[in-house]
Amino acid sequence: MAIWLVEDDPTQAKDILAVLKSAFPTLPLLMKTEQEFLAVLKSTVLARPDVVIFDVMLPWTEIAEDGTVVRAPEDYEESGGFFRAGIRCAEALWANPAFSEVPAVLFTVLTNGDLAKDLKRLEGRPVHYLSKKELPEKLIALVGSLVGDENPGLSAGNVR
Amino acid sequence: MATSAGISRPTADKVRELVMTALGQTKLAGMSSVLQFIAESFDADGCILWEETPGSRLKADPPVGEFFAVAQWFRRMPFWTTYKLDLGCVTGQAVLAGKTASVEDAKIDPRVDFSLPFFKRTGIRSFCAIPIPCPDDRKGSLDLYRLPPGGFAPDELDIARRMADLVPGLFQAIRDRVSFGVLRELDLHLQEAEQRIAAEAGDAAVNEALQRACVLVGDAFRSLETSLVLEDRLRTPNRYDVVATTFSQHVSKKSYVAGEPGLTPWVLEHQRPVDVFDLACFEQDRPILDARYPDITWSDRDHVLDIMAKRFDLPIDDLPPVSFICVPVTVGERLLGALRCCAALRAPHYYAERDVELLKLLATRIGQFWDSSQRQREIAEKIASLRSITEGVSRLNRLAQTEFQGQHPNLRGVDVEAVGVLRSAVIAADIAAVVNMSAAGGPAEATLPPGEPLAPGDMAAVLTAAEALRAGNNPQAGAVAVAVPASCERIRHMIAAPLPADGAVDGVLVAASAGEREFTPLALAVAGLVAEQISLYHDLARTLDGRREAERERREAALRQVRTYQNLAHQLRSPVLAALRKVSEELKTNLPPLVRDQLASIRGSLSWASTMVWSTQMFAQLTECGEVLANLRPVTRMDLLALVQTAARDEQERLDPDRGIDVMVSSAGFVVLEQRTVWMDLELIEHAVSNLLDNAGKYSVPRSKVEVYAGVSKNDRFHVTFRNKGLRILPQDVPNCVKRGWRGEQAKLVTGSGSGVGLWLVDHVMKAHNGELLVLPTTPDGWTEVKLLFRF
Repeated sequence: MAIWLVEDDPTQAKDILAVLKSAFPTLPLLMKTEQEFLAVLKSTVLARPDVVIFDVMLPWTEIAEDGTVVRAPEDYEESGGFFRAGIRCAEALWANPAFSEVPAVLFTVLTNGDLAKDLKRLEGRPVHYLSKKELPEKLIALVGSLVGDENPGLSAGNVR
Repeated sequence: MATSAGISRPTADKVRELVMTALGQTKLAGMSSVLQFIAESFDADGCILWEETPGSRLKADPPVGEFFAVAQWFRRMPFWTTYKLDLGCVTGQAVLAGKTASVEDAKIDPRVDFSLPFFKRTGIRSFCAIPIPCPDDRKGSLDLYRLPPGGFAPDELDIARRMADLVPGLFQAIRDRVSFGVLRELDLHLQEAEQRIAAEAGDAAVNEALQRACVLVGDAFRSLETSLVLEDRLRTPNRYDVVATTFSQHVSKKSYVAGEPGLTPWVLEHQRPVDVFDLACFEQDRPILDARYPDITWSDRDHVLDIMAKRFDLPIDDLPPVSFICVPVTVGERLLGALRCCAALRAPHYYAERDVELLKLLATRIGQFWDSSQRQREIAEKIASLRSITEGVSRLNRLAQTEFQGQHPNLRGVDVEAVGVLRSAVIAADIAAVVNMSAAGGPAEATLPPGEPLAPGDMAAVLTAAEALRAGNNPQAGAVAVAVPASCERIRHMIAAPLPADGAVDGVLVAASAGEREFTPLALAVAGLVAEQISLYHDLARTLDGRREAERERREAALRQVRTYQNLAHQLRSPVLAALRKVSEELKTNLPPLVRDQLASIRGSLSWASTMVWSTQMFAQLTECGEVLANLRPVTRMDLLALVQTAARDEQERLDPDRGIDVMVSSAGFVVLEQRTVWMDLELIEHAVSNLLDNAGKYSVPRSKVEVYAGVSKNDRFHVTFRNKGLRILPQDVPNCVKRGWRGEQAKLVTGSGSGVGLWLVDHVMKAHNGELLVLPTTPDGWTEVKLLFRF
């Protein structure tokens, strides 16, 4: 089972990883920026993920140790920039024929209403919305259902 | 001795002398000198040149007609007025027979009626009549008179006939010379006048030139009255005023209209000359005259005859011919007026038909002068109008600009000024008004120059014109001539221009003239321009009103937004601070490491949340009043150091441990505060420090340090400095760093969150401390420094 997590906030990433580790046997792969996700997506060495959990608002990249910054695509700002990075990542995922059926979870502080336009546009795609306000059990249950594990080993006490 | 022509030398000499005498004459009256020469050549006491009157028909059977004196000379009598010589007399018979007649003693000659006044007054006893041809196929006679009886010898008659044969030609030569002279003199005079007027245009100069021209013509025609009537097409079109006359005390009628009764109006209406040989001897010629001048009325005649009778102190029947000629003054096909001469006071006492041609030439030259001066005045008026409209619109724009700078522009004042501009630029505009009309079709309201109310009739006409234009509903029509209501007695001409607004006619600019003068195309253009200006101002006023209203609404909305920010921030502030305090207190207790780590992490988040709440409040405060209010107090080293260290710890908690960034505070420099005093609002400084640490943390390269240290700067300020290695700040970006909403391009890529107000807020916090936020460009070795500078 392969779970990918795209989350930039270190505190939240730490918590989510802890929740997922408590419920699923595999260690999720963490990516912190849109550029890192796209790089991973292009990599041929990684196996097909069973589910990808996306934060929606993500930075494009991180500062490299030499202080350089990878340039963003020309249409970066026009396509929503930081505010729609997770959506773009999901679309990039599905654009790969091998990954077109991979389910995506939009796990975000944004509300359903904030994402209404995008969710409508993505109708027919394996996309699922979950608010970060929800308890961890919901994330585990949703991911479990998506990866075919109906009874993931969740213990609420293990989270946070 | 005889000449080759068979003429005796003495006769030839006489003839040469006669010709020389004639060629020396410069006036028609000089013909008397010619007759004197002939008479004295034969020792005669008088000489008269007779010519058949224009109404005579000598070739008819029986012949009818009379003779009049073309010219005369008497040794003792200065003047002989009688000219009505009938055909039955000796002279008449000689002319009809074409043979010289000689009377040796009039007293006993049965052919002569010696009882005639002529013989009594002159004492003439003998005379001869020599028939001669006259111009225009007329016949005449040169008569020589002697006081004593005895008649003329045959050789005398032979020489006299030779001289008489020359008389018509000599007379014509004198006439041509006089004609050329007057034409030349008039032309020179008017040329000089034209040059003078071109240099300093003025009506007085034109009138003076016309009067002088009139006098010149009068002199040439020896007339009792010479008058010039002209149309001032710019001011009084279709009215012909007497602009010059040589007989002003008796010319009571000062203006004419073509077609009204009278000789001059007939000329104006038909644009044909009128030529009457004798207004006194009138009735017999009347059928001919009536046929020649259909529908003419002779109402001027009695007046002229009365004047002539008084002038000559003679009964009307004894007057010399009272001739009248009047010719139209034209340029091309265009009628400008008329020029007339009446009653020749000096010989010849009549105007011949040939004089009409001369007068027409003179009239043509005067017409050219008048037309030129009218054109010049028209050009001058156009220039004045254009200058006036240029200056007026400029004045109007300045006024409008001043009004629009105020909160409540006085559009009525602008309209009043616009009306004044129109009146200044359009000479004929006696009345000007802006009629504002409500969109709902309600009553119109006229704006007029102050202190110039309109009479009810005029106001009604102006409003009617405005309504007509609105009814036409063509806002882009420009200025047009509009009909004057029949009920309006004063106004003669009107023009109106719509004031468009939103595709409809919002108002109308009206100009009216009480004079004869119609509005010119330039006046229409000027009115159109002024109307466009007014529309522009009205439109601008509406736009400004709209914008001011929108601005007011925007400000209200912004204020509501500020209040909302303040309210939300205020509501957030209490729980966040409570939670922060609680977590901070818990962290002071003995806790298991895992719990401590968790609480420290929560504290970091709460600290940042607290800074965000504060930022929201500050943002609202700055938006509302433009400055941050600080509650300054002396700060201790411990308080400030603790504040910085806590903020650094919180920042460390928020940073991604994978990036390996260490936040370090050097406490050494803070010791300065133990010797010197710095005033701070620690709550503001806490958030300023958090902001700067957050920036440093976010934009540092992995595995680097964020360093905080304090000290005294070279210019004796207390500084707290934050330095790190990461995204570079270029020199040109330094001024932008403190601008509200500015974010570097690379900064946007590495962290999505952030609104670009952090440094802007810190800058204001420092200003509230009378201090300074100093952002330095990244050094070559990669260090970026930001300093908070405080005065001691």
